[in-house]
Amino acid sequence: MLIKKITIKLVFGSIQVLLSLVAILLAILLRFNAFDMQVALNTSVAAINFYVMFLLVFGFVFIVAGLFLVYDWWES
Amino acid sequence: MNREMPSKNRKGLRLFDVVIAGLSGAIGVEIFVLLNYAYFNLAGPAVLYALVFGGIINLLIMLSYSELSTAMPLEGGEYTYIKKAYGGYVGFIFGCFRWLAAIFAASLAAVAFVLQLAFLSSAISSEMQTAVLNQSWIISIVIVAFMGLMEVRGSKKIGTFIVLAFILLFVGFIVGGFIHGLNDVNLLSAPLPLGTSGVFAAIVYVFPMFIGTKALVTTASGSENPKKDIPRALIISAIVIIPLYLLLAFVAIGTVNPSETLQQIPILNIAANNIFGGYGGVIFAIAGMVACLSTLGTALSVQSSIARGMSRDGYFPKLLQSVHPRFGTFYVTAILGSVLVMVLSVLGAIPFLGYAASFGSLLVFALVNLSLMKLRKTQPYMERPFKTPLYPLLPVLGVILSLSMLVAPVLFGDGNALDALTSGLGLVAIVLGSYYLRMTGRFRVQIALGGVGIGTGISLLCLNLISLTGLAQPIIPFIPIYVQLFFSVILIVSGFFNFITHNYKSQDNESGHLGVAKSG
Repeated sequence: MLIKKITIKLVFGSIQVLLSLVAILLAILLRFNAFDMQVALNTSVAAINFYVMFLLVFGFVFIVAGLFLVYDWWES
Repeated sequence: MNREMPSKNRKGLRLFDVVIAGLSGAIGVEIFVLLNYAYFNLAGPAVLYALVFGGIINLLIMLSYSELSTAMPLEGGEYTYIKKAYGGYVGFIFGCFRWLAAIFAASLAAVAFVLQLAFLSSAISSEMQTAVLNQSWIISIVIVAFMGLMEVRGSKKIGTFIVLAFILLFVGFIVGGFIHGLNDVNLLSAPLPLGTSGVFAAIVYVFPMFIGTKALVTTASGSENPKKDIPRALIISAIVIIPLYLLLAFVAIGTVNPSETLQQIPILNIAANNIFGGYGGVIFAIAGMVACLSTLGTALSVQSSIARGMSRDGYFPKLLQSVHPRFGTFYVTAILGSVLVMVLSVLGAIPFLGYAASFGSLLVFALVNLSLMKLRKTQPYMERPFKTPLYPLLPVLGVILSLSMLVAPVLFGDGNALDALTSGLGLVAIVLGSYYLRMTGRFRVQIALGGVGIGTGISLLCLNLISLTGLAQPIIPFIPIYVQLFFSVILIVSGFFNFITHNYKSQDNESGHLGVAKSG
């Protein structure tokens, strides 16, 4: 039972880290309009700062949270 | 340029070697790219004033370095001084900023490499130049991957003779420029893109051209006579670099017509093209590419070394000290640094990267000056072969100038600096936050983050369900709702596991103790 829980932790932790990394990458690309991202995603200029801040803050927080779960698996 | 000096087994480094180490630190990619932004966008021909100010500020700060490096000629340089003065907390902050500055410098070098390559390709055909500029992000990634691989394989660095070749090239450029004849550079009547304030804003962009001179501090432990040679070399290299860059900029400005020049093309290359013909531009483009590769390689190496040092001190995970079984190099830090540099170099924002690289260095300079004052107070009897003159005026001036340079471009209306400063402050928050979280203890942080995850996940889930009914707009409209729903479920489950992690540990420990008791 414990082994299953540990494996679930690894799976969910890894997915969370990956998704958070994608969120941060998206925020960076959006902020600097790389590959014309602002046009491609059809975002208004006024809202960009909000999205960037939202994605960056939550991205960093959830990377750490995901890494904790991966570390639990590593320790076990 | 390469910050490492050749090791000498029997004899230590002489004054000449140490001066060359300082110059090799200063002559790098910065002169090829940052001069453009400062000239075209901020100060115009008055960038020459900015160069003089930047050089003098660097000289003042080098005096503080001289005192500390002779008092503590140990490996570690600034990290040693700051840790000795303020202990581990400030040492950790310093390490983080130094590491970030190296990452940003490497990214700047990668982006600048593409510009130089584009200029070189323009000698072949304009279509090729356009193709290089259009695919700049791919080239940046490839070049960083290549240099990262070289770092993993433990390749040799470019030698000191390259530094001398660069100095000769620059001197040839200056002499050639004067022989060729220069336009009238009238500083008093020249139009300033941002007025007088632009000159102050430009200082922060030209300052990174000089700060590399401090690299010679790392040679203190290998110097024949560090107590005398290090301060002399610091002052000599800080003084020599001022007229060298000033004359380079003067000749470049005097031979280039700004209205006919694209800002993306390095001004030194265009000037060399005008002075020596097509070959001049090509030679400078090749020189620029060598400088970029050298800076990139050195910055990757520096970031790896700092990350390992902080890992040794327990601030970063021990994983960063992993050694490659075949090449015997620290491959984890090399790969991690390379990936970060790739992401940043894709942005292609030279002014942002330039300011960000400068940001870390300026904070470090302020800390070094503060360390000097603290050590004078707490350890007055420490042996100091060189003492900073006009104490405490110069260290105080060093702190004020370093910090004011950080905010000057923002105050004077440089929007790019505002972006970079905001990002820099965000990084400060992350650095400080991570330290405090570490001190709080892992399980408490994990439980707190678990709570945040559950709360955010449930909120996101509810908002998305409401938006599915059409009663409200999705919170992030450009991310499909099913992706957001998936993420919210992941957040809730992960948050739950983080939240109850301490229970597992307690149960695990209890069963472990019981096991021992039973077996006993």
